[in-house]
Parts: sequence; structure tokens; C-alpha cells
Amino acid sequence: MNDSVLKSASPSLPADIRTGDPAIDRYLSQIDAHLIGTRGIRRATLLEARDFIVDASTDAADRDAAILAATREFGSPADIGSIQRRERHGMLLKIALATGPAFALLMLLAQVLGLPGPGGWGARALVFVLNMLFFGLAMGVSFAYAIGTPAPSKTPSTAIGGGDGFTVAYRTSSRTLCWILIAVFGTMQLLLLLGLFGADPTGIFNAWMWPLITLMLFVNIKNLGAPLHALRFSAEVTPGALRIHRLTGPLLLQRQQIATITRPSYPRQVFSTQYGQQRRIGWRDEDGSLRHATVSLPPDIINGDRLLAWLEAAADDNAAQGLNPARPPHAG
Amino acid sequence: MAKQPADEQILKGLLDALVLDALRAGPNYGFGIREQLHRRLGPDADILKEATLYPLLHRLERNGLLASHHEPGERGSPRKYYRLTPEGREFLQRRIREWARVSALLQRTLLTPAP
Repeated sequence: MNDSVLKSASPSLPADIRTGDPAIDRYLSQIDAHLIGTRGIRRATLLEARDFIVDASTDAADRDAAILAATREFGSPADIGSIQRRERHGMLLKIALATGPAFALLMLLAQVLGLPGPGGWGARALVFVLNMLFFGLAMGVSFAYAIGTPAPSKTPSTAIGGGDGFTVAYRTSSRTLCWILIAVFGTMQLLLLLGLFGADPTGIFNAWMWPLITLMLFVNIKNLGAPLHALRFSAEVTPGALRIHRLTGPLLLQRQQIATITRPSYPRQVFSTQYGQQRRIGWRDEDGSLRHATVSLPPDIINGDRLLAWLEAAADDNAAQGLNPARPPHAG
Repeated sequence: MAKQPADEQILKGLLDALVLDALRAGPNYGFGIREQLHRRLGPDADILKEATLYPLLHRLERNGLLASHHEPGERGSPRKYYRLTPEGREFLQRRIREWARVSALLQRTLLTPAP
């Protein structure tokens, strides 16, 4: 694959990444030349390299020698670029395989139930492959090469005790997209419902058979539910507690209550009304019963990776101290 | 003298375990991990010159032994922190047991004069 097509045009190193030291900036520019993706994607690698070199050379007696040693210790620009490209290509493949076949299967089912399309299984198989490639690659390319992880915010969390906390929320562009999705799929859902009774004013869905309309109504529950979940979701985290605001209501958990953090199965994630990668939080209530709550933490959420790190650390620490075992001792 | 492939394998295995061990105390960032390794190794820190940190950390992350997240950094830009995953913790424990067995074997054989 020609990787240059996966790199958006940016003539020079971003100003906020430059250090003012010619040797460091030259090294970063060399790395940048080997990276792929939008500026936001490449930025993560450049920041990691810059911080390492600056940290290693700040208090050195011979700064030039320290910079040279640090660049050798961190890695060659070609190696770093090769690793970043492999990681992004891997992400493309993973997302394409997770989304493309599911979408193609759904469209095939819709065709079988009467969605206008090519007749004959040969043509349907071709459409299946095209749908799988088109949707899978579109999703994969977006997340692997375009959408960067948002920077962690410094917003202190004051609602549950203040201190050294942070807030988890979708960024403004994602929230805007959610409103657009609600407008589009909400309208579609309404027309589908009217179409079920032959009353769709556009006439599009009146011609559909009821099994197809039922399937689309069912699918649209996720399309509508996911942006609603995203708009309602936020979390406040302090060292000792977590408050999650959800579509289904708020949930306040003390750190000592966290027992397990697991990844729901693929079918469970597909059939849930949330988008993106999910985590299932297992926590013990006051009676000692293990209860669960699922949160979606897609890459475009601010501080989502910090929340996951906090949850995993809480579960690990509690397990190490014998608090909140995944199975209570009497469960056998 | 040219380094032998077997030496490289031993070193690679040792460095993986050393990096994972440096994260047992909690999440840390690139330079922090390097500093901790230097402190632990003391006069033997020269073996770190045989490795480059970025490929090492990212290989361990790709293999699921490390996970990462971002925290606000002192310079106003995010800083990437690495942490041990349960798989990483298990891998480290296994490696420690293996090294201990090899060490005991060496003590009993090669490092003990034959009777």
C-alpha cells in the first residue's frame, strides 16, 4: 500500500510540538515524515517522542550529547514510523472486520425480506462483498487514519468531592453528529412506523412488506438509542469515586465497590443500544451482590482511556486487597 | 566481538521482563520507565543500550502485555502512560519463575566447582 495517500497534507511540524531546539525538531520532523494519518493521529507519536527527548536532556550537563543519546535510545525515525504504520493498518483491519460483515449481513437480510436490490444469489453475494468492503473500510479508515484521540482535559471534578479528578464526556463534534443522527434516524423511524400502516407520506416505506419494516424498525432502535446514550453520557471521576450519568439514570460508585472490568461479547455489543467498544463494570452493592453496568468508551470520548485505566486499577487493587472478589467466597 | 543471536534472545526476554517489572508499582510514561530501569539496573544499565524504548513498549502493547492511556502533561500536552494488563502481570510472574529456575540451575551446575 502506498502510505503517502494516508497522510494529510501538513508542510511542517506543528508549532505546538516544536521545542525550539534544532536537533530535537529535526528528529521529530524525520519521524513525522515516516508517519501516516491526519495531524491528530501523528501528533500522539510525536508528543511521545518529544517528551522523552526533552525529559532526557533537560538537566544534562552536555545537552547535545544527551539529545543524541536520547534519540538513539528512543528509536530510529524509520523504525518508529514503521511501527506506527503497522499499528494503524492493524486497527483498520480490526475495525473493518468488526463492522463490515455485520453491515453486509444486515443488508443481505433486508434484501431477502424485500429491500429492492439485485435478484439471484450470485448478484446478492457480490453486493454482500461490496457492502462489507465499503462499510468496513469507511469505518476502518475513519478511525485508523482520521479520528485522533482527544486530548485529556484538566477539568477538575467537583460534583463528588473535588480533588484530583477529571470529567469524561463526548467532544462537541461528536455531540453535534449525535444530534444529526437523531434527526435522520428519528425521521426514518417515524416514517417506518407510518409505513407499517400504509401511511408514509413519502410513499417509500408503504411498498415494503411488514417483515422488512419490522427489521428496519428493530435496527433503528440501535441507531437512535446509541446517539441518545452518547448525549446523556458523562462521568465524573475522583480518586475515590465515580459518578456516571446515563440515559437510564445516574450511578455513583465508590472505588472500593469496583470488582471486575470485562469486555462484553461481540454479539452483546452488536445488540446493545450503544456504539463503540464497551466495558462491563462489575460492582458490589451494599448487600454484597455483584451488579453490572455497561459503558461505551469509543476513541472520540474525552478522558475515556483515563476512565478505563481508573476502573482497571480499582478492580486490580480491590482484588489484591481481597475486596469485592468477582465471586463471593460462599459462591464456590 | 559480534553479538550472537542467542545472546540477543536472552537480552530481549530479560528486557521485556524488566520493563514489565518497572510498571508493577503503577502506570508510568516513557522517560519515567527508563529512569526506573536505570535505577534498578545500576552499573548494569548498559544493557539498555541494546534496546530502543519505543519499539519495545509498542511491541509489549501490541502483544496485550501493556495498555496505555493519556494524562495531562506538565507541558500542557497529553502524556502517554503505560500500565500492566492482567496478561502482562501473568507473563511477568511466569518469566520470574523461569529465570529463578535457570538461576538455581546455574548455581547448582556451572557456577559450582565440580567435586
